[in-house]
Amino acid sequence: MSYEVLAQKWRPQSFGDVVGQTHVITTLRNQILSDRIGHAYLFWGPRGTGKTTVARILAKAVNCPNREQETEFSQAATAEPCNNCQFCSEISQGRSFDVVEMDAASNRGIDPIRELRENTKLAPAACRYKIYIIDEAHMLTPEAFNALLKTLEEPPPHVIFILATTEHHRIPKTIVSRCQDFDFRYMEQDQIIGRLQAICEAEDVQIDNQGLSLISLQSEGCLRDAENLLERLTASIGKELNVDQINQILGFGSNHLINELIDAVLRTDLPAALESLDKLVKNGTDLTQCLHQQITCFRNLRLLAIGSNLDSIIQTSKSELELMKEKAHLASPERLSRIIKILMRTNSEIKQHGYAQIHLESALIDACSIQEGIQLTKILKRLSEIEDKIDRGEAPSRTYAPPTAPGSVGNTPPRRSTTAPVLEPSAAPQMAEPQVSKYEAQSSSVPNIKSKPTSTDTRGDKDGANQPNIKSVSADVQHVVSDSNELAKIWEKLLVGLQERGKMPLYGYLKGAAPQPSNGTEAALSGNGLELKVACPPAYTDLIDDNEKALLKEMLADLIGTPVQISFVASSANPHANATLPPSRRSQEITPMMLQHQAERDPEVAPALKLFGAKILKIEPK
Amino acid sequence: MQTPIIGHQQILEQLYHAIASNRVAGAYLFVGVANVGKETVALHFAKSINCLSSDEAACGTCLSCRKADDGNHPDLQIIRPSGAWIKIDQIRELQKRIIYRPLEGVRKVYILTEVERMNLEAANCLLKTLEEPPADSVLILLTTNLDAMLPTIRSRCQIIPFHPLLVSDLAGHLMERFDIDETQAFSISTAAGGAVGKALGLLQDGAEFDEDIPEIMMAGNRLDAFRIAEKWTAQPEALDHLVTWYRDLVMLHQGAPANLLTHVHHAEELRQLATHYSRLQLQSAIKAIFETKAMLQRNVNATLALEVLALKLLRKP
Repeated sequence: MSYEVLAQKWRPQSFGDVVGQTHVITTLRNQILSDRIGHAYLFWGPRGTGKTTVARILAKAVNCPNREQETEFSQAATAEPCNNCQFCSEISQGRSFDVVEMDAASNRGIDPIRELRENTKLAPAACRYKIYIIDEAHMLTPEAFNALLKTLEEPPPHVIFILATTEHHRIPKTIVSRCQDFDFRYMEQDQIIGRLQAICEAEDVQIDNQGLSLISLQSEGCLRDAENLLERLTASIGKELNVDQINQILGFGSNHLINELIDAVLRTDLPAALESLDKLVKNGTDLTQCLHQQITCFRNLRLLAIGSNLDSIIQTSKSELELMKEKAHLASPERLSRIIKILMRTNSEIKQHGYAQIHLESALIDACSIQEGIQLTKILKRLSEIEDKIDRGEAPSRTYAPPTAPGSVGNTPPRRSTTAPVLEPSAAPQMAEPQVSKYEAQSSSVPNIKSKPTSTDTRGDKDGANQPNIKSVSADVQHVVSDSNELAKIWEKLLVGLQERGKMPLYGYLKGAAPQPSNGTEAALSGNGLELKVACPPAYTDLIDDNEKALLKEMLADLIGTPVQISFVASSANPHANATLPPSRRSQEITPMMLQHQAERDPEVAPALKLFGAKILKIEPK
Repeated sequence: MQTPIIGHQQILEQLYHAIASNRVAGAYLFVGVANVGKETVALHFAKSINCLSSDEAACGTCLSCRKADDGNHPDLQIIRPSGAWIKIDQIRELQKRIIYRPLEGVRKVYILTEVERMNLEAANCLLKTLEEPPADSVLILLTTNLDAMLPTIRSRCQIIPFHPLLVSDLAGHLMERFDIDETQAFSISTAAGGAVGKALGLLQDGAEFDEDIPEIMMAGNRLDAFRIAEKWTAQPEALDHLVTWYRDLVMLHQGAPANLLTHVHHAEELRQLATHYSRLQLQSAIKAIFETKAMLQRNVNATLALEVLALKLLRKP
């Protein structure tokens, strides 16, 4: 009546049997072979990866007297314990005097450690080494750890300590630094499958590869978990396992139903999705498992949707993969990502509240309501384009029609974006400065063209937005003069510069102003450098004094790379240069604020204000 | 005469199979929502292991089974949280006793209930025992929350998940065993969410659920909300019931076929009702109910929470 579960029965008894962890095994073997065994080891890693097992094998290997006799056969065999001798079998059965396996979680206080310290002084009873395996070492109290420090640093020559833990961070640094640190890692899927296969053969259990991979997937890389699953399956089904039974016992939804569900979600066919979920429930599927299956499935689909060559990352059978590849076209990675997010959120909701079915139904409703939308990046791009326009004082929805050649303006933007400096047919004769002259030509019907950005500017912006960023501004002054986009960019830089210098009033005046190269482009570049006319509401032009003009010139010269002459032109029709306003409201309005400002700078009022330290409270019209 | 266990047939078969083929593992972890029947099955499993006259299911008549039923079988012990937690001393006590041979039975069985309430020291203390329990002992851990368990504990146990029964199955069992009509059986099973123990508890308390559309869905007056909230305060299970109705509304709203509904009899009225809501309204109603349920478990002012919920659920005119 001493039945052992598979995980215990098949606990490896020699280094060769251990699955994975080659980095640990190789080191230990070499240490044993060269007789350079350390006095303290720290084995750490996730559960079920072989820490206690390797500790026991190590205990046997260092004590086994038969180990050295085998040297003539092969080198690898030498590190292995014989598992036959008295010492080996005593250690295997856990009744050796010299191998003490201490459960640190149950004996976590200082007293057991003191006792242990006393015992270390005594020579081993029979074996060569006295070995202390301290399992679950992270549970020792700080006092216990500290009591161990001195012993661990310089133990008697016949003592080896092996500490094993799952929680490395809870071991004090002082302990870690006295030990040889070995990390145990999660095992690969095929290593687990290989081990399970060996066990199944030995135990006479019939199971196919798909079943094995189901188990190994579920075990998350921990061999003991996998072995326990196999144990549960054989205990509840018997020696012959097929995939359906495994699905049933593990609570997986059958692949067929899961696929049905996923198809329905991809087609956004909600009723069908709900029906498949209902079928899954009626078949006794564990809904949290089913949720995990769905997440994995959508994840695989997303990989395939990103690139069909990513199939090497996906662990599934060939036929499944083909099916998935067909489905992958049905949705974009973005949509799949959102579905996955919804399912993940549902997972935590189920954990919190229970009622898996209702939550899963809600998730399906949400998932099916996701339409194949516009990509976020595209929306952002469009938004920034619109922002760009608004910043330049041009509204996307203009209230008046383009003055001339509406066809050439309205219908061609896409083509324009590919060819930056477009030559308009209407502007063809003026080859030297096609664009500027074109503005002139097109907008001549609109009064005060210089003060007002016209519809053609909208088009020009488009060019600007799509042009590669032009860095050689200073090098090509001629270009600047000719291209209003360039100019607009420089103007923006100027505005930013003003902001940085704290010249907020000036910034405010110029924000709405529109720079125009001087009329007649040849004259623009004269001996005095670039002549720049800035259209500005008359109320503002008076406010800018000579110092500020000098500053502007200086800054512009820096930006363009040539001396600049600025002259302000009053724009009567459009004081704000803000085209978002309907034309009716674009009349010349002077706000009280502007009036006050004007009054403060009035040559007669200003000294009076200064003299009396007065403030302007109210301005009344004459 | 023992009463058969309601539901969980598959699990029982697995366990019987293990007993019959002498493959009973040393450590099990039963996982499932509260009152779903974990403890009942665990006790039955323990009896079956030690039953003198049967190789599979416990006979219920032999000396061993009767002792277990009366709670004085020396080889069966149930460990429950003492106070809020299962403490390390309880586990140490267990470890002291588990090394002895069974007194009468084939194997000693230790059932630990609510192990999610085992504190960290106790859980770690149990690890070595779980990994290699003495050959003639079985540890059965019961928990409602697998994620609250240490991965090291999970990895050492045979995990057996318990699912709530299908409402229709549970209602069938209830009708078979108790003298109740179909609608009552259905409403109790629905409110219990398929958990057997909870359904039996509700039945014992004489809880009555009117199988009518909940008032809150019809009410439009704020004063009604307070009256309804008062009712809920007296009977918090009503929320479990309520959520199924909202779930039906969402389903109908989204065009699901009527056979998926919980309250099939009211399909037409619900369909009418569903048109008054938007999908988001219904989904947030369900969310609000769940949140209130969670709050009630955290010792909030119940009346206040339920009143807030009722006001939230009130249909906007």
